[in-house]
Amino acid sequence: MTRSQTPPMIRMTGIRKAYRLHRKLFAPVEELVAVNDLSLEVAAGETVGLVGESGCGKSTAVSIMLGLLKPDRGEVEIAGRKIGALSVDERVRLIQPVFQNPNASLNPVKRIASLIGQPLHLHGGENVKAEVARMLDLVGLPARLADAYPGELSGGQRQRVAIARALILKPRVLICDEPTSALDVSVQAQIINLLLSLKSEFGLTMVFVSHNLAVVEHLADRVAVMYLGQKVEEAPTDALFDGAQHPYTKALLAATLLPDPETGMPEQLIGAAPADPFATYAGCRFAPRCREVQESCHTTEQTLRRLGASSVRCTIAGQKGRVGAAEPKPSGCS
Amino acid sequence: MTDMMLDIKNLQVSIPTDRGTLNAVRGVDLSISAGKTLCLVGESGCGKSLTATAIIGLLPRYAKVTTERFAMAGQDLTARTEARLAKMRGRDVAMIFQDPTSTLNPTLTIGRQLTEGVMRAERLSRKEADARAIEMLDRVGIANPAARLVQYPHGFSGGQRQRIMIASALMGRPKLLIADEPTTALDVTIQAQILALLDELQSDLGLSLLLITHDLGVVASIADEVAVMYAGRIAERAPVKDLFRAPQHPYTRGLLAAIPVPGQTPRGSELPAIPGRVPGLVGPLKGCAFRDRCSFAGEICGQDPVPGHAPAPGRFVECHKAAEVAA
Repeated sequence: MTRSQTPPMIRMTGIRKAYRLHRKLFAPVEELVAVNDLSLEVAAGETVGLVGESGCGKSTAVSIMLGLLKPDRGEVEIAGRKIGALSVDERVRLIQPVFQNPNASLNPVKRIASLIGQPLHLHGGENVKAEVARMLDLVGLPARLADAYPGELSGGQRQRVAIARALILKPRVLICDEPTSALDVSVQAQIINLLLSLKSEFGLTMVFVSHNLAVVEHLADRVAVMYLGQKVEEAPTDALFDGAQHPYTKALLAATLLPDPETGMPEQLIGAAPADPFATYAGCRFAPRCREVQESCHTTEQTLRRLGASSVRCTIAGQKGRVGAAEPKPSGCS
Repeated sequence: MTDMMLDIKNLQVSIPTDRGTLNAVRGVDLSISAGKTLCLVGESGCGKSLTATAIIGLLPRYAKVTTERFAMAGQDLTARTEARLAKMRGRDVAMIFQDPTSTLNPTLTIGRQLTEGVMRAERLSRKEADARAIEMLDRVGIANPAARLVQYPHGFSGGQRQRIMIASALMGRPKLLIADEPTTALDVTIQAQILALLDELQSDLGLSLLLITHDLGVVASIADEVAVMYAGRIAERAPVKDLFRAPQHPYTRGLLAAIPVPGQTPRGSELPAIPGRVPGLVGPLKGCAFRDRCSFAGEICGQDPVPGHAPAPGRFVECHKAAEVAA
């Protein structure tokens, strides 16, 4: 995190977003806090991985980052400007998304050329045709596919179309929400390679949302782990994979399956009780499933603090070890 | 061959489509020893799910299924009539699917869904069937099972629903369990729990397990043997450690190389992706189906038949260039 004179490309501060819904028909309205007190900074040219399980709030966070959803509280700044103050035209030229499922995000009755060219067309670009041809080449699609429909393409090719469409306005930030989860491994590797080469070619800033830790490890400079709406740990990628501090991060890493039969069954470091997003917690939200839980965890409000290279939302992390045994102090980004 | 739970030779599945006949499974040989786990691994469209569905006899009528030999639990079922298959389903063989949310009926209680099959097949009374259901729910780690029989699926989390599906598959005390991507819809921490459960059930009950997956991490954690499928055929088959240590088919090698491994693959390095895409399977296919994507491919690879080799006991690889690849 370089705090030089230039502002970070993305700065989210104290974001909270709650959905009000009925848990059952005729039940009273309840509040589901999807994202709570989320702060995240992404420097220009940096790739930050956002990981966590379903329901942890990563997709809500992404929607807020893209300006598609208004937070209840908190601020989002892109390239130093508040996202609410940007016009749509300005916003789309700064930040663009690539979503998980290209089958759902591409209109099946439009031709590839028109899908890729649409953002440029809508936002008053010129030479749409030439630009589309350039984009097709850039993402490694043959020019003849310009007249094809999405249904004629394979899953990997469709994801290339989605990437071309996101990049045609030359944004500075690309938000990838599980861009390879719907793809086969051989194709996943192709898309990862494409993202890597585009990033270095254009100096893109990337936020990469995924539940696949191996993919995140490969792409990200820094990783933020979310659990039930909160960031529970954030660290440079190496630090996170070499020495995770939060019990939830440790459980995630232990559950990640490696293509190596010698490692055997994954170790289970997490209780079977499912996470309940409606519950209110006086203390740690992870405490009901935590293997390292102590009595105080249920009652002590958890705040982010620095521990070694990490920022951790856990009062007991690092207690036994010597690593970064500095006294807990609230971190700058909480 | 009495210890063979499943023994299939030359399974073919073809499906008529508007564009011609889709030869989705093009001659698959599979066998599973009693009490062992075979993982059938491959990418979308390779025919792995159709193979499994054909084994349990749940393919729609318009799908044409033929086999040279089909034996399960010591019985020869080569002449597969619907009546014989129906008798076998649920008792000798049971299946669990990828998404427990869509396979459980949301309008029926868990108890009703678990007991329906055995009450019909084994003519159990309501009381006996409920007792069996409670036993199985307990087995798969659902707490307080008796009270939960009257609940509906929405009252359970995704991981619990998959446990219920497993309990449901166990109701007829099958000898072979087919699991089609049982953990793909689940979070990683829940996936670890379900895999551990399957592993435990298998050793406790002596089940044979046919697990279908695209995830080589799942394969590495649970398989005894692995069959890698590509374009409707088994490209390679090997004991799990051999497969990961020394893959012999270029496709297997490509798959393994394409996965980033934390701590091993240098960050941000270009991954060795497999170029191109899977061939279409409508109509006849000549020679090796992988040759357009294969770095070893030569002229000979266009020829039929692609020879099968057994480089070591228990291993099989189908490749014209097997000797060159192994070198």
